[in-house]
Amino acid sequence: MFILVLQRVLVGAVLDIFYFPLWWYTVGAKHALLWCVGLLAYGNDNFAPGLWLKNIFVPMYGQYDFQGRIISFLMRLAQIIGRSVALAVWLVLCLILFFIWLLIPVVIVWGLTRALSVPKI
Amino acid sequence: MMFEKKPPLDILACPSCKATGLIGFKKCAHCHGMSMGLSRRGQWQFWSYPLTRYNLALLNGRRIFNKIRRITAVVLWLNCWVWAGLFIYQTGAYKEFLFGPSAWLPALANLSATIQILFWLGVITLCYFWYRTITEKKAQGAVEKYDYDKKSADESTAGKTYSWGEALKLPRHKKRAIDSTFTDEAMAALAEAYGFADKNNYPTLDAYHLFYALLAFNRISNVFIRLGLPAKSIRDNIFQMMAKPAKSTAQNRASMPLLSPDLQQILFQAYEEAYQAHQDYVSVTELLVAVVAQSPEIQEFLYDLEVDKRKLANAVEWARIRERLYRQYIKYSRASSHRSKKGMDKAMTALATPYLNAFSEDLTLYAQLGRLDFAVARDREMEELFRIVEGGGQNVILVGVRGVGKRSIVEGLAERMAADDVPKRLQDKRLVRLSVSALLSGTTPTGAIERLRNILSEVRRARNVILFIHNIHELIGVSAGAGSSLDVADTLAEQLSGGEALTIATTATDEYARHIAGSSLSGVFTKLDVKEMEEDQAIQAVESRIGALEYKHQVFFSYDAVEKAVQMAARFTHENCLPGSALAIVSEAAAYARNKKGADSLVSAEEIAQVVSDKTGIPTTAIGADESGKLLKLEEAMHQRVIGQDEAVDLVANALRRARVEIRSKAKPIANFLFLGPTGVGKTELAKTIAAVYFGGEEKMVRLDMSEYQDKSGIYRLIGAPGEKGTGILTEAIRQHPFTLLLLDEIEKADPDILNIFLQVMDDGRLTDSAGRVVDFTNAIIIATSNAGTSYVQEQLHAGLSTEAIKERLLHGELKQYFRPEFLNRFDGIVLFKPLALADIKKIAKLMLKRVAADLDAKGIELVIGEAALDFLAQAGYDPDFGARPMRRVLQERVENQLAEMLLSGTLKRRDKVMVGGNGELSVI
Repeated sequence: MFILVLQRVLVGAVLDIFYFPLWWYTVGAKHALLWCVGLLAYGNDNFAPGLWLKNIFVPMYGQYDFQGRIISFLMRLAQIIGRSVALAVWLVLCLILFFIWLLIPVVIVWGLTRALSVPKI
Repeated sequence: MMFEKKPPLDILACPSCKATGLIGFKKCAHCHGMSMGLSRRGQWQFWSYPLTRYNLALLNGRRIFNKIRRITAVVLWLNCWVWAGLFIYQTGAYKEFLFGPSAWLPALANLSATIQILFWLGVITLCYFWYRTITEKKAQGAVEKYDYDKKSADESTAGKTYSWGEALKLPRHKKRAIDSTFTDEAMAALAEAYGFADKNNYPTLDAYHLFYALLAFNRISNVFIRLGLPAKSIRDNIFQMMAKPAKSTAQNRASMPLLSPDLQQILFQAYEEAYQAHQDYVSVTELLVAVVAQSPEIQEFLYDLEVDKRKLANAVEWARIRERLYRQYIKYSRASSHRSKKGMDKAMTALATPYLNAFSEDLTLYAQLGRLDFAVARDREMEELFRIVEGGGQNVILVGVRGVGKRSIVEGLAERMAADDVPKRLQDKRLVRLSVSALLSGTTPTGAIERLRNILSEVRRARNVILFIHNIHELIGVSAGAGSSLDVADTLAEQLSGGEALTIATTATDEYARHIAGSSLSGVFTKLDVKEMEEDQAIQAVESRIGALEYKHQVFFSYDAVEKAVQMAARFTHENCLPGSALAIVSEAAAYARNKKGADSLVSAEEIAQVVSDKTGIPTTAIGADESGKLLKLEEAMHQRVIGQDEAVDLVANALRRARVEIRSKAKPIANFLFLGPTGVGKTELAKTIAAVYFGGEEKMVRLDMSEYQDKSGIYRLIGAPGEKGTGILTEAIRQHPFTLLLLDEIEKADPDILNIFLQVMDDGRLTDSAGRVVDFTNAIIIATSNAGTSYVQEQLHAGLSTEAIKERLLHGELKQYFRPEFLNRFDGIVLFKPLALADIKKIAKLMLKRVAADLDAKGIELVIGEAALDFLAQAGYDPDFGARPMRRVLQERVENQLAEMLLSGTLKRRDKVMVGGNGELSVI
């Protein structure tokens, strides 16, 4: 029994090393993507430009008078633009993180091949 | 309460692989490794985790190997980078990096090949470690979400029966592997049970083995520790109970244990238990419940240890509550981190409310800061509240008796609002509690109304405020204007009826009836009744709060203690409701146990009983040897004071014994007795004796001379004047000392309407006083004495009739002049006290002289009484018509008067002996 188990575990371990790069671009990539989407959702929760857009004509701080409405509209517009830009930057950050995931193996291969071409000391 | 066995599930087990999912080392071709399954709620639920020796060994091997693999990866990564760093240091290449960021790239390019290779190998091992960490964090499947619509439809749980061929063809979304919802701990318990059965050569894996294995897990042993049973000793007992496999049936090493049908049921029942209890995962606690429900032998075993179904269910729920509260705390505190702490909504449409803030507290903010408790076992009320809010109801009023938990429901709502776990209408809003005292302080009623108007107008403008007015009745009755024309209630009603802001209020049931039901406010609020918790719910509520108490007092509560606290609170404290009353008891018991037994001690049911006894005076603790001896010899103790009257003494002693061991109706007073008989035969004396012997002193008795209640107005003296609290002589006395003897002396003299009050007291053990409070008489013993029909009794006695016959005639004739039959019928015993005979009088004389002797003893003088003296005194004091009273007069005249003269004249001094002679004369010897 012990030998059988050991044999199976060791074979599994060897196969695992070959599966590792494949995993990186399949299941792993999906995992990374979902993680980035989660991060984006967190950003959206915080910046919430959609919520501001929905309330664009609702005066801020209960200022229902004419002037209040105009100031609120302008303020909200500015907020929406600002928040959208912030969210866009956040999105880019998420995308960069995802691409870093995708690029890591490529960079490693590039680094190794480059290293091998450098004369040894 | 015995355990009930659930109806067996219709499990389809694969015949080819014998429900193991494997044939040899390969997946079974017949069931595709699904091993066993059943159709439930329109799904095919199956078990795909092979419980076989090889598979478990393999998984164990993998677990160990995975650890080694991850450690190796970390070591390799660190090695690579440490060596690379070392080489950089040795070659001096690091100096190039010091020129700033612009020099980094060329510096990197100039690094030697070895350093670069080491660096990149380090990156690879780090990535590999990352990969292993992600993949080993098994994505656990969750138990399907509880579907409220399906709960009543039983037929939905029993589904269509499939064959393996049909089951395999089902689409993926219709199949659910229940083993993926088992926590690692639950799986480890199964593996351990299997290992145990395998090691001991059992042919099948049975409920016993799993129970035995479960007891080794912390969470389960904690459940049993709460039940006062150390897991280790149960484990030893279970080990003894397990039948050893007979040699012939013992498997040889080639075969291995298979899952017994019972265990198959247990796996699927555990999943069902998790589903019914709204749990996300199947954990060891669900396995425990399923194992116990499946095995009658384990049930019998637990039953012998005084663990029944309800006890186990509540103890398991305790473990779950702790875990659930922890998870909820994490989830809610994460969710509430998005909220503004300045009272603003996300879209900033709200208005700051400085005026309101001066008179209120923000409950949602408190919830965010973690200052409120979770509301437990209040799902029904919460759902109803949501239904009213979603249905468009503007204002809700929670109505319930004091201490029932109205405020904690609202605080629970605040918790949910902070995490946005509420209907849309309540999302992104603040729940603000209006402080009535702040509103009313330092102002006139007109000022208060003005303040309220300002507050409500601010609430309306702010649009994100839900106002909470706790005890709204405190506001009502504050009136202003000529002839109190303007009331706060009217202002509130006017402002709230606009329907712009949502308000939640609470009030007590009696206050609702008094102040709100008939007022303008009743139309504004939708009423939501909050009922007192059932015992089980209250136990769970107490369990949820006990953690803080345990931490504060450094003690540990057993389940029995919690259960007893709730039961006793329900029985003995009527001022307050469950769970508030039980919480008061447990918190006192925690402090008591800490002081008595020190830190880290166990609070048992005995400490709870002690605290309740101290609070109420009712003996609730376990009966010790001393007390049981005393109870068994009650008659003897009573006869030391009461001469004769055996029937009455026996009756009372038996009633008290029944009461102490709780073999009696708990909805009635301990006993109701009517003592009949001529004057001076010992009726009142017996009552006094009971008070002294059992209730701890003659003064521990509520004595009402019913001759004082000869007209109807006496009712108000007994139960209090209408609207005035605490003025009823009877109700207040019993409310303050529920464990007492109530003596109604000369009851025949009371007005018949007053007797009607006692009809209810004697039947239901309760009486409502003038303020509407229910007073509990179930721990009192009621004794009424009466001289009614004395002359008739004496006539009949002279005529030579037996007391039994006289009693019969009295009940059916003479007594009806005084009492209605239904009144007489309420008594548990009616005793006719016998007239005293000369021999009795002699004994009484002896008793009375003993008291005189005790008085003299205090002065250092001894009293000697001879037999002749007793005979003489008994003769002198004997009068069959007047009982023992003439005896008292004789003693006064013949003995006490002489003694007083002798003491004053100085003929009797300290250390003297005085003797009562045969003719009653006194002489110093």
